[in-house]
Amino acid sequence: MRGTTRTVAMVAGVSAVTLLAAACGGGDKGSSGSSSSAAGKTGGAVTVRGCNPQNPLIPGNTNETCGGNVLDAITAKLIHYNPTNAAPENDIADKIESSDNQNFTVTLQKGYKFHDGTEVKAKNFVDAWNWVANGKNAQLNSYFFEPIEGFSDVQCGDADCKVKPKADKMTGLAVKDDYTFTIKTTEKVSNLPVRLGYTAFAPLPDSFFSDPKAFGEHPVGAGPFKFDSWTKNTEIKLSKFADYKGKFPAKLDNLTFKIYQDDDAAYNDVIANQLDVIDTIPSSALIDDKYKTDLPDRNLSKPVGVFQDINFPPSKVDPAYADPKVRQAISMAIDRQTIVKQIFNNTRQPATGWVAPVVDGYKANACGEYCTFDAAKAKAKLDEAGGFKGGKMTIAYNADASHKAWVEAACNSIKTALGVDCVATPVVDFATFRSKITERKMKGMFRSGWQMDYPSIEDFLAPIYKTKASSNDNDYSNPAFDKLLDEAAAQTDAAQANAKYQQAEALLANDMPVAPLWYGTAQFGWSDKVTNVKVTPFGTVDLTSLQLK
Amino acid sequence: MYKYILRRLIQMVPVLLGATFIIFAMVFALPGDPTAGMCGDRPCSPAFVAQFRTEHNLNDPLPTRYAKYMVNLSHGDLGTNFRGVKVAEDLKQRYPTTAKLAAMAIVFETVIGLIAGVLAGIRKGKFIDNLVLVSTLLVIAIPVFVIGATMQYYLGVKWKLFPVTVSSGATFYELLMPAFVLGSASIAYAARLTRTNLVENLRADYLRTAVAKGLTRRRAIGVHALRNSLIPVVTYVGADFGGLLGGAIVTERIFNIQGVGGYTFTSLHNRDGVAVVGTVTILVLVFLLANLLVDLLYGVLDPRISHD
Amino acid sequence: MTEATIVVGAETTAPPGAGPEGARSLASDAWRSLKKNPIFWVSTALIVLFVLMAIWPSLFTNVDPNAAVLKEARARPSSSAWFGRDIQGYDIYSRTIYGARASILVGVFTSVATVIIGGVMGVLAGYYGGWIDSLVSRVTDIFFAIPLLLGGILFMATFPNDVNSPYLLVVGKVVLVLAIFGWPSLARLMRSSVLQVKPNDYVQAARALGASPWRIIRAHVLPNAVAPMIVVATINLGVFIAVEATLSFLGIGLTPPAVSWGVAISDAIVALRTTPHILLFPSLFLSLTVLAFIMLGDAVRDAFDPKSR
Repeated sequence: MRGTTRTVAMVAGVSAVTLLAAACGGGDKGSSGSSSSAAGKTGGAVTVRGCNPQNPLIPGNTNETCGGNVLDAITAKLIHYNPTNAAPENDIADKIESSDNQNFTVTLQKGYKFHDGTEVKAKNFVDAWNWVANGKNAQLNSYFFEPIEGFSDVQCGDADCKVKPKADKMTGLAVKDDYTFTIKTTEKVSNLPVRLGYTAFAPLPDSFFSDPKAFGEHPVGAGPFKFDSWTKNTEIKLSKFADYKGKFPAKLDNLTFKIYQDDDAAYNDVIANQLDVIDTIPSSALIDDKYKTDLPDRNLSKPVGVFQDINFPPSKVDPAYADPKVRQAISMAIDRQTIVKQIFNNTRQPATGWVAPVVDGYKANACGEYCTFDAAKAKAKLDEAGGFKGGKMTIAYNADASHKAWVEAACNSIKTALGVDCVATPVVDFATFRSKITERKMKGMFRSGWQMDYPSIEDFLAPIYKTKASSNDNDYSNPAFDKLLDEAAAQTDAAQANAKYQQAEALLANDMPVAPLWYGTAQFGWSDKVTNVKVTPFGTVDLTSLQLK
Repeated sequence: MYKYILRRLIQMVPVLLGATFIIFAMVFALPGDPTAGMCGDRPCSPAFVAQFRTEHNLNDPLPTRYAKYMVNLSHGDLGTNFRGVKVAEDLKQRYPTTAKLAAMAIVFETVIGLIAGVLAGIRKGKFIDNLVLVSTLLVIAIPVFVIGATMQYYLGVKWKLFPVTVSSGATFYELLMPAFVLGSASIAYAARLTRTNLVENLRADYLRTAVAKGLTRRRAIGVHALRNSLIPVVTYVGADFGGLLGGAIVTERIFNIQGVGGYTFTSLHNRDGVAVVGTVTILVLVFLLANLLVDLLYGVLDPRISHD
Repeated sequence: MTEATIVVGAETTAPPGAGPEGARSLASDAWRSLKKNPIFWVSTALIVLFVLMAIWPSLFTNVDPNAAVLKEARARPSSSAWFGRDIQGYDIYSRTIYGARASILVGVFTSVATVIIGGVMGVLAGYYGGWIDSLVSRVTDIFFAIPLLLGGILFMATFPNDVNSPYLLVVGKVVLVLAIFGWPSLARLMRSSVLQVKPNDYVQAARALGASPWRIIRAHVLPNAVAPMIVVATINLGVFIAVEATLSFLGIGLTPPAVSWGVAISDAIVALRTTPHILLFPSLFLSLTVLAFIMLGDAVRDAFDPKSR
C-alpha cells in the first residue's frame, strides 16, 4: 500500500512541473535489477534522496515510502525480498513451516541483535505484532494482522474505541521458546510467509513498549543500518550497525537521507553530483528520455509492482456503467500504447491483465482482447450494449499529483473511439478524492492504482476485488471469484495456488470491474561516485548493496 | 505619537480576529476528511480515524474549535500539526527562510526599481524612459511562474550561472534568483511609481525655486525631488512585504525553498487546518506591523505629516 | 494628517481637476491627446482583436480545439498545425484562439466586480466617515491582509468544481475568488479620492442646498472621484488574467471543459526543457493581452492627468 500513499507524500514534492509521470514510471522491460557490476569498495558515506516521513518512525504506523525507506534500512524482518526478483528469502527466520497453511511454526536464527544490544527473540515478534494489531494503539498497518486468529478480539468495540478490545493478545500467536513461535490463522493463507517481509512485521525491542513515542523519534531495529539522527525537514542519518550478524550487511559506513520537497531539485543535484541516488526522475526530464543524456550510464529503468487502472463506479452510485459490455467497450477504446508512448515516454508498460508482471504467479494476457485498443470493436461492443445511457462519460482524478495529462488523453481516446463525450474531471486533492470514493459519492469513472504490499499475485486480487474487501472501491462481488480465492489460499503447493489465482483473474475479464491501464516502472539516477545500485521490484533502492566506486 | 501607535495597535485586533476567522472557517469547510488520504487507496482503520479525530479536535463544531484555538493562541500556542510537530517549531524553522527571501526581494525591488525609475524620470520621453516602460510592462504581463521556470532553466540548468535550487540552509547566493523572480512584478511597479512621482516633482514650484537659487540640478533632484518622490514608493514597498510572504507560494515551489509558502500549500492539501491557520495568523500579523511601520516612516520622510 | 491620505495602490496620481465643467473640458482635452498617442491606438487595436477572438473564435480558425491527435503530440509548428501541437496533440493555434474567451471573461468580470465592490465600499467609507469608515476600513484591512493566492487556493479547495459544472460557473468561481480578495486596494483608492473631493466647494454647496447624500454622491462626488479607480481597474484587468494563469499553475484555476491560456501555459511548463514552443504561444498571447490592457490604462491616465501634458 505504500505506493499509492506515495501520491500523498508527493504533494509536498509535486514539482514546478506537475505533468507527465507520477511517483513511479519506467521503461526497459527486461532490465535486471543491477546497474553496473563494477566492484565497489566497502565503507564511505552516501546521500540518498529522502522525503518527510508523515508519521513517527514506528514500523506498524508507517505506510508511505518516505518513512518506509528509512525503516526498511533499519529493520530486519523474518523474510528478506531478493532485490532482483522479489523472491522471499529467509532473513531472521531460520525456517517457517506449515503442513496445512493454517498453523505455522517459525524458528529464528540465533545471534541477531537489536541496535540497543539486546538479542532478537521470539517474544519480540509476538509482542510487536500484538501491539500493532491492537485497536487501542490505532496503528495504520494493523490490517496486515487480520488473517491471524484472534485479530477481531483485539479490535475496539466501537469507532471511538470507548468499548475497549476484549483481549490484549491475539490467540493465534504463541511463544514456544526463545527462538520459536507459532502463528495460527483464521482461514487458510497460502502465502503467509511471503507477507512477513513487510515492515509492519518487524520485531520490536523491549524498550519500545515502555515508550513508543520516543521510539518513533529514534527507532531501533535489528537491520544492517542503525539510526543516528533525524533533523526534521532536512535529513535523516544512518550508519552501519557494527554488530550486525545477518546475511545482508551494509557495505557503506554512513547513509544519509537528504529530504527534498521537489523532484526537480533532487534531480538537478544528482546531475551536479551533489546527491548520490534518486528514486524518481521528474517528468520534465522524462520527455524524450532527457534523463538518459543528462545522466549517461548512471540511470536505470525497471518494472515495479504497480498497477494502474480506471475504476468503474458501483452500479448503485452510477448505473450508466453497470453493464460489463459498456465497461469492455470503454477498455477497448483506450489506446494504451500511444498514451504510454506520448504521455509517459514509455515509462509505463501497457497492461494485459490485473496483476503486475514482477510477481510470482503473473500470467500475461489475462485481459485479452478487452485490453487491446480497437476502435471499431469498441464501438460495436457499445452498440451491442445499447449505447451509453449516462450522457457524457467522466474520469475523475486527484489534481494534486500528475494525473491530468494521461486522464485527458484516455478520455480523448474514448471520445474518438466511441463517439461519446468524455471529460477529465479534477478533484482538488487526494483527501477529497478518497472521501468521495469511500462515501460512494463519486459518479462516473475514477482513476486508481495499486502498489503491492508483498510480491504475490494474491495481493493484486484479494484486497481489491474480493467481496467487501478493504480496497474494493466499486463493490465488485462475484461468488465464483471469491470461491477461487479461498481455494487458492488453501493450496499448500505454490504452483497450484497460483493456478487458482490465475483462474480467478481470468473471471475479471468478463465482469471488468476496473479497466487495466498499465504497469509501473521506476526510473533511477545516481551520481558518479556510487556503483552497484540495485532497484527492488518495490521501486526502492537496495541500500545494503549500494557502494562507493 | 504613542497615542497613534496605540490606536493602530488596537485597530489591529479586530482585523487579526477577522482574518483568522475567515481562514479558519474556510479550512473547516474544506470538503474531504483529513484521514481519507492517509492510507492511500485503502481506507484507514476506524480505530486510527477515531484516535486521530479526537487528538486533533476534529469532532468539535466550528465555534468551539475556533475558541479553543484562540485561547491557546493567546498563550502563544499555535497548536500541533497532523504530524505531531508543534506548528510554532515548524514556523520557527521556515519563517526565517521566507523572510530572508522576501527581504531580498524587497531590496531588489527598491534598488532596481528606484534606479530604473529615476533614470526614466529624469530622461522622460527619451530612449531609456521607453526602455524602462516596456521592460516593466513585460515583466507584469508574464505570469510569475513562467518567469521563474524559464529563468531557472536557462540561468540555472543550462548556463549554470546560479544554483538551480535552494538547499535547506538557504544561503544568500542560492536565494538571489528566487528573490529576483519573487520581486520581479514589484520591481516593475516600484520603477513606474518612482518615475511618475519624480516627473511630477520635477515640475513642482519648489524645485524650480531651488534651481533658480543656484542649486545644481543634480542636488536639486537628489535631495529635494527624490526625497518627495520616495514617499509613495515606501508605502508601496511596505505594503508589499506582507504580500511577498504570501506570494512566495509559487516561487518556493519552483526553487524548492523550505519556506512557509510550500508549508501552507502542503498543509492545505493534507487538510492540516491548524498548520494553515497558524501560518496565516503570523502572515497577517507581519503584514499589519509592516503597514504600521510604513506609516511611521512617513513622518520621517515627510515632515508635514505628524501622527498626533 | 493621518492615514486618510495614505494612498495605497499600484500607482495613483491626483484625481482630475475641479468641477463638472472642468471635467468636461478635461475629457475633451484627454480625448484630443489620446488621439495623438500611438500607444493608445495600438493597445485598442489589440484589445479589439482579442475580444473578437473571444466572441467569434471560428472567425480565426476552423480547427476544433478539442480534437486531439495524440500520435502527433509535441509536434513542432508546421503547415498543418501552425503553432505545432501540445502534449495532448491538440492544435496549439486553435487552442490559443479558443483560450481567449475564458481569459478575457475572467479579466473583464473580475475588474467589473472589484470596481463595484471596491467603489461602493470606498464611497461609503470616504463620504460618511465616522464609524462607517472605521467598520469598512477594518473589513477592507481583513481582506487586504489575506494574500490573494492563499485565499484563492483555500476558496477553490472549499468550493471545488463538480463534474457537471457548466462553463460559466467554472469561470464564475475564479472571478468570484479574484474579486473577493482583489477589491480592497480599489476600495482604499476610492476612499482617498472621495476624501479629496469631499471638501470641495461644490460638494459643500450642494450639501448646504439640502441635496440628499445619494444625490450628492451621484452627481458631484462620483464623477470627480471615479477616474483613478477606473484607470487602476483597467491595469488590474491585465493582472487578473495573469493571476488566473498562476491559479491554474497551482492546480486550482479553470478546469475542463474550459479552455484557457492559463491552463495551456501551466500544462506546458513541463515541456520547457524539450519543446518550448508549447509554452511560447499561449504565453505570448496572454502577455500581449495583459500588455494591451495595461498600456491602455496607462495612456488614459496620462491623458487625464493635466500635469503630465
